[in-house]
Amino acid sequence: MPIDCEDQELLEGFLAETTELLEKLDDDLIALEKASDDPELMNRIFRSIHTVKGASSFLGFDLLVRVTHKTEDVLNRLRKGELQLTSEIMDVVLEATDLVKTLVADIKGGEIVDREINETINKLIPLLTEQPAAPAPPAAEAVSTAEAPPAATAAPQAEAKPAQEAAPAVAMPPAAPRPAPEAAKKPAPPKGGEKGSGDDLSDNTTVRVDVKRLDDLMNQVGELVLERNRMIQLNQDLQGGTSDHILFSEEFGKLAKRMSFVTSELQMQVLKMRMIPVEKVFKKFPRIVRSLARDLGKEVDLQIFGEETELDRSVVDEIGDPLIHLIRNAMDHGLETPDDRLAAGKQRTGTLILAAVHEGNSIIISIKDDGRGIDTDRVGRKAIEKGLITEEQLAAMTQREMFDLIFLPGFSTKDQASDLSGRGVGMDVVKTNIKKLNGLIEIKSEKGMGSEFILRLPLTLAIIQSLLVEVEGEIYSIPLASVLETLRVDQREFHVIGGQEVLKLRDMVLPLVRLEQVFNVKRCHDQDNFCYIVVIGSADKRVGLVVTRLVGQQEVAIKSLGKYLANVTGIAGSTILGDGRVALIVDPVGMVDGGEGASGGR
Amino acid sequence: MSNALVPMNANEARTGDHGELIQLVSFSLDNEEYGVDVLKVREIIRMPSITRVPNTPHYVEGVINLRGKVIPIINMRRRFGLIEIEYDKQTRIMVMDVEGELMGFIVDAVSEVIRISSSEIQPSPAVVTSGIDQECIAGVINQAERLLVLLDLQKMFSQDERQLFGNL
Repeated sequence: MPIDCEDQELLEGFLAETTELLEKLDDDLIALEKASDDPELMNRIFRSIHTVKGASSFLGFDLLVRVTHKTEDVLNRLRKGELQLTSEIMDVVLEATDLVKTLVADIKGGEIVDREINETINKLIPLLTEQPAAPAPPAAEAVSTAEAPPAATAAPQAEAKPAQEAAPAVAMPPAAPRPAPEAAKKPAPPKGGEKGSGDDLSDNTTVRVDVKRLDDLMNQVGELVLERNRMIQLNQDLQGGTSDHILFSEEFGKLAKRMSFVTSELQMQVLKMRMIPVEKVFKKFPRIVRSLARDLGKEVDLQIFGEETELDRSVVDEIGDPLIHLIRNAMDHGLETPDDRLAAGKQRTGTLILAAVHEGNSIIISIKDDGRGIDTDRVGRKAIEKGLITEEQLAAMTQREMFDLIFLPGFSTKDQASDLSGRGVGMDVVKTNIKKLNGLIEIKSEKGMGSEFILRLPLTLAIIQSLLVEVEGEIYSIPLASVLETLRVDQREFHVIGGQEVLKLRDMVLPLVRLEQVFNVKRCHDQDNFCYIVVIGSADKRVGLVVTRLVGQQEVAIKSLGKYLANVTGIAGSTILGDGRVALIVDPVGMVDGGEGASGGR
Repeated sequence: MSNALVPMNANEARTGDHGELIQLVSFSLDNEEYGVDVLKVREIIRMPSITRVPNTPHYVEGVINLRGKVIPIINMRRRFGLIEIEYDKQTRIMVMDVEGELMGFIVDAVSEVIRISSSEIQPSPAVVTSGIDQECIAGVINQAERLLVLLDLQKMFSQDERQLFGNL
């Protein structure tokens, strides 16, 4: 049924507001579970759901009204203290919130689907009549949750599938991968939207911008227009002969300075508008951690720091997946069960810290647990078992390199793939995504004490600081974020190990990559013994790029090479230089891996 | 590219009146004349400075900055396996829309926009001029004093992409 809403603007406003409220709601609900006696929090939750209900009834979204109405009633009883909050009640409320999200996503999609909502509503109903004095024991609660759905399916919806009736029963045995209430929810019709709803709701097609930021932007644009007029005037004066060259160059110099000032201000403003707090990603995690902890039978205290740290939306969009994998990993492999923890002399509850902080032009996100840490012996053994490395290779590895083994595709310490992990894909995804963002990943771990995954990401993907270098007459740009240092060396200092040129740099043997060879540049300079080395690093590996000359550091805007040239090896994109020419941006990741390939292959 | 350029349709049109009128941009390559649908041509520019892109097929000349947009440039002589010549005053880049992306093509010279009736398009003969892939020839226009080869660049690039990705 297509949405029949006369006032499109009203609808858009409703969607924007509801989406925002629902995002906040998830967060608040989880917080409520920890602090159920916080009246302020309780009221806020109640108000959010009430607002959604009010708006949807005004716009005539019946399904939405019915769900929110019942949820509101349950929350109202909780608020008045007629009902004690248990995790079972919370499950039902969360399920209802998910359903609301699905319904809102439907409206957003422009098509109201006739979804089965009675199942969830019927779970809410018993909560409305329950006696305040005796909050039902968890077991009874679970039964009532399980029984409700079949009753619902028998009732109004004729097309209710038989599978649905069977599902809650199937989900009940403890062997089920998810706890019962979760599983009971799964087979319900909202399932289709359930997974996607979170993403759909938080899509980035519209932006809310502070009016002040817009005003500032307008001011800057005004300045720019003035400077342009000045430029035209200067040109006319020169053409018309009213100005001589000396005066012109003086005035033009001033103009250039002002222009550069205004544009860099402008750039900052626009960049700021694109920035969103990393909270957007982080706020999903309390729920994920909660349900994972229940699935795994672990007790976890998730602490989040620095969620107000801002970064570019393009980056925010990309880091969600890797972070989920890292969190799952920490929960599944890192943290022990309460019993194991007690046995190891630790507190019952494990701690998982998620923190974000700015450092220069990058953002650092760390996921730290106080679990069992990475057992390098075990990791090494598994890698050999899976045929990913050989005994000799393992013997030569440093601890750091052994940590890196967990990123290999196909690597897993689990013998059997579970619902959560074990297919050996997760960490590979993490590495690929982080590399795609030009980020670095570092692992710190101590056996028995816990591990920490540190991600270093650029603030934005649109404009980067870069180092311009010349390779035999051609200009290339290297992202500064991956440049560690530059040095001028005599080529006679190069050593050759197994056909691979290397340089002894302090206590490190640095593999070298000659850009002129990788890019097949024709020699145009005479052989000069001195050259420059740009040391770049990507996800823990270091490579030295041999270039002819360093040109300088410049902030460059990244331009895509288009579909046709999207996959050129060693090239990440292009940019336009001050003189209007195109310079190619070197792909540090490709270079580092390429260098690796060269050392093994040649 | 509009359907009218496909030879089969041209035959159909012939049975009725003289077919619909289409406009072609004609250009020359190694003394042969070619034509492409005018609607696909965005602009025609002189040779700017081209930045070479390494590790690409030999006929990719490089990329240029077209008012802030970076677009790839294809050397048509090299693409068709013709003898290369120095660029001169006549050399032009035809910027065209190929499957939604802009691309530039270096040709010897761009001559004019001609109007033809779609009924004048004939299917290409089995053997045509040296080196040019059969697939990207949409037809031949045989007028009294000239022979024009109609190109379908869309076809050329879907095929090229396959090759490019195959190599990777």
